[in-house]
Amino acid sequence: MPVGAHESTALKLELALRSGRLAVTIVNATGGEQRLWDWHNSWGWYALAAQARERTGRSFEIKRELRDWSKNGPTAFVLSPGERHEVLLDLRDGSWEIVAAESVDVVHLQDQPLELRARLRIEPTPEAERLGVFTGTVFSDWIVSTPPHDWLPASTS
Amino acid sequence: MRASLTHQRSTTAIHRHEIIVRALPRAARGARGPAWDFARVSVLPPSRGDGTKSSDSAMVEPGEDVSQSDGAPAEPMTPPTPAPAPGVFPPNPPPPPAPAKPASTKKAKLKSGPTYTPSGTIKATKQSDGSKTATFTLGAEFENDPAHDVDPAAGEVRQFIQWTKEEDIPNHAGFRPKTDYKANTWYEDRDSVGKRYGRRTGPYAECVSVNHYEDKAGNQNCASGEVFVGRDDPTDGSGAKTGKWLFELRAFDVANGDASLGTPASVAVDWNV
Repeated sequence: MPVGAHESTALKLELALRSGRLAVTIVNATGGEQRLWDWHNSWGWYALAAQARERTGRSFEIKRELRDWSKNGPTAFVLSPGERHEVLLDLRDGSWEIVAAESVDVVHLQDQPLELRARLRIEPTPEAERLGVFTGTVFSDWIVSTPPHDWLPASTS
Repeated sequence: MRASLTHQRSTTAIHRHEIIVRALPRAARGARGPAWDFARVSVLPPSRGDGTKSSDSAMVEPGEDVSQSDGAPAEPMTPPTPAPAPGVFPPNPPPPPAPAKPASTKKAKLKSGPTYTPSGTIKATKQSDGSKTATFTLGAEFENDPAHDVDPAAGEVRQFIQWTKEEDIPNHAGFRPKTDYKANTWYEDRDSVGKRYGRRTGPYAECVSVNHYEDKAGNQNCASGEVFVGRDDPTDGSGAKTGKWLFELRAFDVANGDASLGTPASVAVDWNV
């Protein structure tokens, strides 16, 4: 099971493939609390994404599709010092899209090994500043996925 | 230790409601009259395996083989039921009727609200990523008057939403399948994980900074706090909506069949910007 990790000053991101899902683990590597947006509100919905690249160097991103919120608010959760928080991402649940500079042939991708990493990005906003939520970008290390890529969405946007 | 004490109290409470009856035989009253005089029954202390029966209603069932004080066979009021064949078990007797529950005397009463701030129509604002959003707060306060059975825990607010154009249906998992929902119709609002505003208990409930109750001192208390504190940031993720989303905040007395309380508050978000 491939596992990758990337160190940052505040948060560490680890990625593993597990039964067709991306297991993203966020580790609070600091001595203090870290706050992160809940994943289902409009502040946290787009925070997690995946990046993939072929051997040729072509890359693409898999990120959350646009959606609406009728009931919505800036809620966050706390990571204690050293705490690990795992999120299982099902990129085939219909809420993800592949975004690339040029068109991506998903069938073609299934025939070759891919490198994959997770990304956490939280933009600075007045709400993040007011509630002390972490802002910035963290990546996991790249991991290798060998065909078949049972985590890969079936189509592109 | 605490659990054990609780169990004992519960068992004692059940025994207090058991009434063991034994009908008095005709021999004890003379030869005339009905076989059994149910107006004259002796109430015995609870016991098992002595031929007596527990009953909440202090009745003896017709045909029952009731032991007599003089040892004579009982006269059945109806023919006795034939004994079942070997290996055949008679059906279980019907369960005794549940004791009637006293009607709840608790009730909810609004002290103020419900309110939206701001109210009226809010023009959505465009964001740098192309989405549109608006912000308002939700509020209400329930009375707390135990002397008159007015209990804030019986009061809940709930938010309802409708959209003015079919294509403006909220695009999230809470309103799927889309064909089940129509424009210009009120639905209780919810998020993509099924949570709703103002619910104190149950699967729709949550207790978070933007959807909670608190006491008068400002301490979060979603079970019985008087003051509801909420915030909503409805967002059009694509920025393509041109109609309106209408919201109503309504108050209910959940201890009395979700009876409506007060006057709903209204606010509208105009996406046409």
